[in-house]
Amino acid sequence: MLIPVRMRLQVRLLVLRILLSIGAYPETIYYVGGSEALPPPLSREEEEYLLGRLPSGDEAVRALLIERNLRLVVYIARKFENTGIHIEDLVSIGTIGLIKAVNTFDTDKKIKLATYASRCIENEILMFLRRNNKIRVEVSFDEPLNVDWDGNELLLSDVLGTDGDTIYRDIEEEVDRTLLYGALDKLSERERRIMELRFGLSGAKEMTQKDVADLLGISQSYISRLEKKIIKRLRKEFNKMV
Amino acid sequence: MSEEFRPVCMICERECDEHEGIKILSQFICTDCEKDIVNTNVDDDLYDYFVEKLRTLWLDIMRTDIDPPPGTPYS
Repeated sequence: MLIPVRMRLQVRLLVLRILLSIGAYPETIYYVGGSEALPPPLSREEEEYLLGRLPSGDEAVRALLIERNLRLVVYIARKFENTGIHIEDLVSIGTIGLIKAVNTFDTDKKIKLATYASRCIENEILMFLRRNNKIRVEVSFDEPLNVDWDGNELLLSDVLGTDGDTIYRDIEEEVDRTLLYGALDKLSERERRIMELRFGLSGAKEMTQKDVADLLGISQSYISRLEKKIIKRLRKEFNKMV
Repeated sequence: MSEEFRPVCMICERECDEHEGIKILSQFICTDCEKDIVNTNVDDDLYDYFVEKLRTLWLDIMRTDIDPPPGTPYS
């Protein structure tokens, strides 16, 4: 059973070399009259034979192993279609993973090439996504872009955004406000009062530490320390809620 | 006497010796570029160039639905 498979592959490798030497493309072997866009996966015997010859460094062997595993690239790439990366880029990145897999595959290890290649392809795409996430920089909508002669700031939110964004921002602010009031309920009466006065949370204007200190009859330095402690505590409460 | 066919590498666009590279579908990648691909990681400047070039390999293929290959962890 193994001999005919071996002979068939030897003939195919020979045909590939002859076609290339006369300038014909190997796709003619696979595509004529077929509905399949990609060459079929290798059978177990075919793969076994080719893997046996992989350490010899034969280019035609590597090419066949790569080409016959391209379906795996497409299948894995499609799992990442919802990441915002174009499918054309995903299959390109997956192909890099597959080329790396065939070049680094250790035939002595008892692992299937498809299993190893799947990991390499997936890993390649994940590394690319991670890199892209690192590059993406977070910018606040309230980032000032410029200041005019009167000192008015031009904010990023002034030049960006649509009505939809505005609605979304309002919803975000509403959620933040709800979380904040939830956390404020965990504070003591005095702590809550300090935060309301300092940051205008009860609808009044924001007050300075000095003003709050005068109003409550305690020193400004103590208000400053209390404020830091309260903000730290609020942060903990937020983390519990989110 | 006809001139010897010399494939053009899809990555470096250099005319190569026919035995010095791999043929994938209708394209050719020379051994030097294949090595570069294997030794390049996503943070290298060259990486995006490889991604761009390899897209051409798939131009005619992406319209077809493809099932997971049998015998793989996805089948």
